[in-house]
Amino acid sequence: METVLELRGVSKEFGGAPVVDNVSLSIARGELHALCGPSGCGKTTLLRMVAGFETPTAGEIYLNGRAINQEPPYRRNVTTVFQNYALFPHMTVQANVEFGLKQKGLRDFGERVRQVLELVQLTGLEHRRPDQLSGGQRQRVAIARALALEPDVLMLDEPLSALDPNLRKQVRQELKALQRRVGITFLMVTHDQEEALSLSDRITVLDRGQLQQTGAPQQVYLQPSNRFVADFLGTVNWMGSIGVRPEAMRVSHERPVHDAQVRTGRVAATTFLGDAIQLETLLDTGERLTAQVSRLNGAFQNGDAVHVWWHSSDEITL
Amino acid sequence: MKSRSNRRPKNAAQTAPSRSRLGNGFALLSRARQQAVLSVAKPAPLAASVTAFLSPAVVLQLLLFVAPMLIIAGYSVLSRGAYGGVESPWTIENYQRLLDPLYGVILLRSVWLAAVSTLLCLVLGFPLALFIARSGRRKNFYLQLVIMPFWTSFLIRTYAWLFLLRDTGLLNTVLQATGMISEPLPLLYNDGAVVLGLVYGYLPFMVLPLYATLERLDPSLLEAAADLGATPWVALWRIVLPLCRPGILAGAILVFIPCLGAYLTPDLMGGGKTIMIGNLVQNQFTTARDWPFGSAISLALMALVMLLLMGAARRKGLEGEGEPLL
Repeated sequence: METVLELRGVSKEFGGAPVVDNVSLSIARGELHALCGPSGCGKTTLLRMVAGFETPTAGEIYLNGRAINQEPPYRRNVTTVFQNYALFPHMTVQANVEFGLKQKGLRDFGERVRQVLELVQLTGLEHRRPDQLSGGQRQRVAIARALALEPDVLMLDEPLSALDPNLRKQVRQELKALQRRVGITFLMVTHDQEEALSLSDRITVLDRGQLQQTGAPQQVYLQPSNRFVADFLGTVNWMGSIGVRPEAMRVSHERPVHDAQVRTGRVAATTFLGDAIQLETLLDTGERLTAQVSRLNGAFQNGDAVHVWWHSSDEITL
Repeated sequence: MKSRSNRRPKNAAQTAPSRSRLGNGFALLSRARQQAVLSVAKPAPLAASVTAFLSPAVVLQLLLFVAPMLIIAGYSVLSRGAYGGVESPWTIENYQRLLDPLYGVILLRSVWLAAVSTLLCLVLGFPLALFIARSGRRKNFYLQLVIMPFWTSFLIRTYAWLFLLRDTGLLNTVLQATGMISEPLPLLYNDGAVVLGLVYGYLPFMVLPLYATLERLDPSLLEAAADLGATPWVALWRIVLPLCRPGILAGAILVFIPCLGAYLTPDLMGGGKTIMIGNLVQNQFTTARDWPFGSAISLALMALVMLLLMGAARRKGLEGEGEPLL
């Protein structure tokens, strides 16, 4: 796979405090890559360094193999979809999308603007101003504006955070479909692990400025390289250095016939989640384990004596 | 014309339910804030209390603005008294005199000098306002510096310029002593000196509204412009200036109007050679002892300013952006 963006030992300090700490990362052309981590992990700063709004304190950023640390933002062929969209309020949708094309000195971009607006389903709204659009429409203008320039890398800063939850899941799928259609490299920042897992080809997890793990969603979820990654991407029942995710836990009244790791205990609490039931169990050893089971697996009452079991292959081992 | 009902609040991201504990904290905080705002804004004021609160202002306006204006309007259609003051009979001669080309020239010069001063204030004030808006925690300190000249009387500050600029003043003395010039430069008593004085006096009135709009300008818009390939100059021209138009207009009005009616600066720094319309009015009430004509000029000047303001307001209304100016 051809590398479009590469970070080599990139660090950024603000007032002596490291915000990004020696991060090395390669992004392949056409990839949808998510940078995720809790707030303050440095993911947005990393994005801003690629865009050129911040200069690394150390390390180099390469775009198409060329070092771009010294390039001002307006000479880098990367574009950003800002978290608040940052649409130009005094310009129409059309003018917003044309803005970047004009800066490049392009002519006859009418067709391109039309295509991009069609791609994000904004046809017919060309002459509206941002304040006449809904949140979702504004986001699509921001995406269209960034797409129109056909950047080497299109960066999205928390693209779904400003949308209401119902819209979020729908837009998530649309975003992925859009990326597949245009084939442009997307580098996305998110604090939402579900978003990162469901959208991306690869995920990079950051914590306190340091890269924790990079890999495909399944890989980082099932084989996290450390406890932070495992916990960040979902709940884990830790038993020493072995962890089992709640959805890998089975609960039954009878002893399982499978060859499995089995513990015995009692149901301490049940929570109805709609599509599943969460069972808190108190083991005879005093440990507490959380299991998430299908409601079709049977009914459980608080105090029921149960067997809690899982397959060794579902264990996370550090 | 345009519906603004679908405009979303800026903190929508915070109010949206979030899975994380921190997110919930934010949501709680912002809900508390909303309630606080509501509880302040909620009580519907009684008509009686509105009247009570407004009456001092109304009385002041009537006594100190409307009444004098009516007196001036009355004077402007009376005849000149022998020793100042006014006498009957009624006449419109004072307004007819305004059409004399002599006064037209003075009016045109006043408009010209005020316009040049306003433009210079804008050119000088914009970078200053931009600098202050971008200087983070030092903003308030710099704003204090801009306002500081008001701590001293305008008259005294204008006299200070005389000491600097006159033939035996500081500047000419230094230049002559260093041998750079042999004769004193004519720095005072010309149009240039008047413009200098006006720009000096009214620059803060341009800087403050410009600062207010620049300070509110979302910095991410400039980042977006750079991100899309705009050099800083292009971003200034295509993003900052258009979005600052309300501030520019407000500053221009705040500078242009007092400049147009200025009399102290042209009197002292123009040395009587550069007469502006304000000096003309002053002369009528003092040396010329022609109160009716002075009143007529005053009203004509007011009418002109009103027309200009209405023109500006209408232009703004047509654009339909920002808050209505008038």
